[in-house]
Amino acid sequence: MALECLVTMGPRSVSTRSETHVLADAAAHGDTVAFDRLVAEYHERVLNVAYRMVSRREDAEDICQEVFVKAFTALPRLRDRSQFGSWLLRITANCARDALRRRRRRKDDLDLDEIGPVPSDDDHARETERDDASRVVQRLLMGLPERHRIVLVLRDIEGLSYEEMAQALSCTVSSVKNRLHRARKLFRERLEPYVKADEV
Amino acid sequence: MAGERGPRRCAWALRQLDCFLDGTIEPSALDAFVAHARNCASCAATLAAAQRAREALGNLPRLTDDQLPARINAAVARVAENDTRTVQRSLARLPRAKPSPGHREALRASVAAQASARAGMCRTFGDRVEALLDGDLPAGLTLALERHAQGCPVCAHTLATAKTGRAALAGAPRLAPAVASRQRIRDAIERIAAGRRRTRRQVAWVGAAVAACLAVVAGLYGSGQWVQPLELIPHSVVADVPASVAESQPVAVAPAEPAPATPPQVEMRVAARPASPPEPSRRAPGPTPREPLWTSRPADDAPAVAANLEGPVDTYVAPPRETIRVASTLPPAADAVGESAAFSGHAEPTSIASAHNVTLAL
Repeated sequence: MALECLVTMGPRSVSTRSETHVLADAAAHGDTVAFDRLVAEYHERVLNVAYRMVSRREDAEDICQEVFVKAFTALPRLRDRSQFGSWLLRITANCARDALRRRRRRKDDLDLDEIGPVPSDDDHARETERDDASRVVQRLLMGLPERHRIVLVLRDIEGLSYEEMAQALSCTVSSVKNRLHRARKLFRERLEPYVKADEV
Repeated sequence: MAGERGPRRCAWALRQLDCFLDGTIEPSALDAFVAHARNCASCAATLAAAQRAREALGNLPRLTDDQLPARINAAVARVAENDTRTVQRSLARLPRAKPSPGHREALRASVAAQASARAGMCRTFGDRVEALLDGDLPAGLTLALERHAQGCPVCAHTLATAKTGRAALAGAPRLAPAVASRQRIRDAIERIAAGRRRTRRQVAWVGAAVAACLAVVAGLYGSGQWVQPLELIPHSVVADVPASVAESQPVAVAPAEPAPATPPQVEMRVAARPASPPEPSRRAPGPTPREPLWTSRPADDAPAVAANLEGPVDTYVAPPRETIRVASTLPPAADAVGESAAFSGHAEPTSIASAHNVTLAL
């Protein structure tokens, strides 16, 4: 149905309505094929944001599934479907926050020393230095407060604009900038011992 | 004074000598000077020597313009060379200093850091380094901060740390979604969509059933075969039944249509109401026997029910599962509120004779 919409619409319509908007419209009316395409488009981003927030792949995949189920259920109530991506990231951030809260309640908080390298397909660990760096980065990220961690993940890892971040975090652009400034400063201060003096 | 001799006159003549040679002597003094020079041998000799010197100076060879700069440059070069040699010789005589390794760099760094700290640039740099990397600063401030970072090792380290952090975050390895995870999401979405479709079908069926019921009711009402339910008949209508009828067997309301599978379970026994009822009194004094407000029909009422079953078909009353007898003491002009109160058992009977005995079968 969504594909038909895209095909039947003229170039003017395509330019005014993004493909995501069309797919979200179709999915809101129960089109599972259209929603599957949205899942294919946003799955990696949602998974990585969730992973950077909780640091466990299993938890991140659970959050991912929860996010898409919630999105499919609540999509008919979303008014501006052109902002589907930001809305999805907002759900992701909320679900990750809930997961961390549940983890704290279970007293199953993550030990920072547990953080291993990011599991990848080529797990032969040829680049040990790269693995070490990613481990250090993830450990430093987990040491930041949640509200600082999410802005750092969205901006410096996912590359979102300030406007998209403001939509995803339900706050103003200036608030996003302020939080990002604090987060980067905190991250830089904690990273400083790892940066060798000869790199200066 | 002309031709006057003497030392004072000679002194005066010597003072006028240069003016005489230049031709600027006063006309009034010219005659006196000439007369003195003719009479004074020494002044004449001085004048002649001065004239010769002037002529000698005037006859000196003149330098051309292209030779003068070359001569000046040559003279300056000679002086500079001598000076350089002199300085080098002096420096060579000085004792040579031997600094420790890194001493010079450390000294330079500390001097630069102190200077920067005094200027407050380090703090500014720390606050603006992220904006500097984002390129959000004005050109002048950007240039100033970059120059500062080149000379301040602390801020250079801060800049390097910020750049490293950015690079580490941007280059962090990404998770790839697993196929199984994607399939799980797809299955969950399919389940939700199927549930939605099922709910939509159920709603459609319920709607259709309601519409069909409404159509049947509308058809019956239009054909005049509508029967008003018993519960909607006002109690006053039932209570105004003539005494002869009321004192007979219990009044049973049977449906006009053929008896349904579940017969009506309401039985009303209406007692005769006196023509002129006494003054209504809710709380009558005296030893009036009181009936319980709510009494369950005893088990020995079964024969009465059986007797009802033996009646004609139009007075058929189905045996109730449980029968509650309600004694109501409503006055004749009891309003609807009083009726409801009596039915709910909140009123006490004052006179059994005037009571409406209503038996409800539930």
